[in-house]
Amino acid sequence: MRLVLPCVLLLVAGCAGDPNDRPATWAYIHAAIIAPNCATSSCHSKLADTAGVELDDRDIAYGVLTSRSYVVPGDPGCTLMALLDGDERQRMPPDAPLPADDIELIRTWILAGAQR
Amino acid sequence: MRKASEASVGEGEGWACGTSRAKRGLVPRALVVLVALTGVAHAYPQFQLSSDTPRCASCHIDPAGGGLLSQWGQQEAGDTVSMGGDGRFLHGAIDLPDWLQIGGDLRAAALANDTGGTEGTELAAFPMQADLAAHVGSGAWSVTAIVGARGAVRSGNPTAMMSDASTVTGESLGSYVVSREHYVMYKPDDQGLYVRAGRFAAPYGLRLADHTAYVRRYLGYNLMEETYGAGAGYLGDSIEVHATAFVYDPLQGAIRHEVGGAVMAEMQPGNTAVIGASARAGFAPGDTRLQAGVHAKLWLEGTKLLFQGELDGVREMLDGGDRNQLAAYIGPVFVAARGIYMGVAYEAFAEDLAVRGLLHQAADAWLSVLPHAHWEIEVSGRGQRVGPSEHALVGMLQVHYWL
Repeated sequence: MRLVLPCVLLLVAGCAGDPNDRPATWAYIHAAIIAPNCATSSCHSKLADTAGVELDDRDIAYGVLTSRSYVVPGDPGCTLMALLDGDERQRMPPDAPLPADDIELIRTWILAGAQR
Repeated sequence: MRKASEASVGEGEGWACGTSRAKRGLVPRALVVLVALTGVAHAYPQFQLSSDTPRCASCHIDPAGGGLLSQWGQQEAGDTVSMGGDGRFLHGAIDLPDWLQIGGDLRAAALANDTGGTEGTELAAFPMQADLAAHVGSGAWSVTAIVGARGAVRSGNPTAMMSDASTVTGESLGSYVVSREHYVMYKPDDQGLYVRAGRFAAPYGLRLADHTAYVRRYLGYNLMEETYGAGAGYLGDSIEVHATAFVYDPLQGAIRHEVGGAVMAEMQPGNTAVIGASARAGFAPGDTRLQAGVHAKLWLEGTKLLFQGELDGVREMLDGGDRNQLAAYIGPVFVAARGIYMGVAYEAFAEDLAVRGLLHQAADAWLSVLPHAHWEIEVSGRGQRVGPSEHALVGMLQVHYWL
């Protein structure tokens, strides 16, 4: 039993597709990456409203990130990316970084103009 | 089993006790790490079977385990689970009437955390939990509630761009106090049917202590994700079934605005094994999540080893695209002696099975010592590998006292 699950997961991971062809849209990025990783109860949820950054609602999250210049359309070096990359700033999320493919999807969206 | 309730973490301006950083003095970030990492108990599933108790409900008020201990559970805390002492409320100093059961948890922790950023390792010490729980009732009807201090960072400048990343701006009562569970229950006997309504975690899977475990964090059982709902179940000699219809908490806030249902069934053949299956469906605007899983435990008395594992599959339908996920947990717990437990575990979470680079893996190790009833000291470490290139390491010391 101890070896079965890791083997299953490694097999699954090995079979997974390589291309990160997920949609670089705000709707997808918010639901798939931002909400589950950033809008946790103690952090950027409405419940905690940490730093006044509320990310659980898609529209509110977009407004906060763009109005406070965490996201600057077309700028891959904007604050949000620096936070996610951990470059000379507090790294977010604080318990574990996002996978590089998730960070790249967000970067792609920002480079494409960070449309709502 | 559970002697600690899920996290309501320390609070207030003064809670940054002894926090320091290896590189820079950013107290707020250290604290938000604490909030995010607090592994406060949802349940202690390693006590099932290893303490010769097949069902979690034998020691807990909650029919699915976790939370406030029953009178029997308090006795077991002194007689079986720890190295000794009086497990009753306040060490037996006060005899509570039969219709009242009171408990609570105080927990402090220290940690070292490294997420691979340029900041290096951060160090912190902090209050992790301050909860009070009560169960009132005689006969079939009862009311159970847990109230605690809510963890939040309240220092820093909330209007600054970077120094504010972990500062709560609200100062309402709700930002200080939280009730994660409160429900009315009709349970005419220790075994048989029960029903309840209120706020509680819909039973699912292993019900691990650590909310950062992938099978909790990514499956709807992270901190403060208890839902309002109505539940019913059956507790038998070697089988139990729990079913819950739920809706997100509209009063204290909720991360996912979800309505849905969950069901969990568990068989306990021969008092040495547990086999269970769970399913959960949650419907939120723009996000429908269907998940199902199996879990199992096996207690080997001769070697004092308890093996436990869970495997779940998720189908999530999001605005803009669907994805399939897998979450897994497996690992043994070794009962070295009465009151001394150590365990290791492997965890995996495939965030999207269509993308190879989205596999999260974790290796956990922990040592828990209960030198006396009401006291627990735990040392733990966790290494995560996120995708092919990222990692995170954390080590934590917890001191826990329960009423």
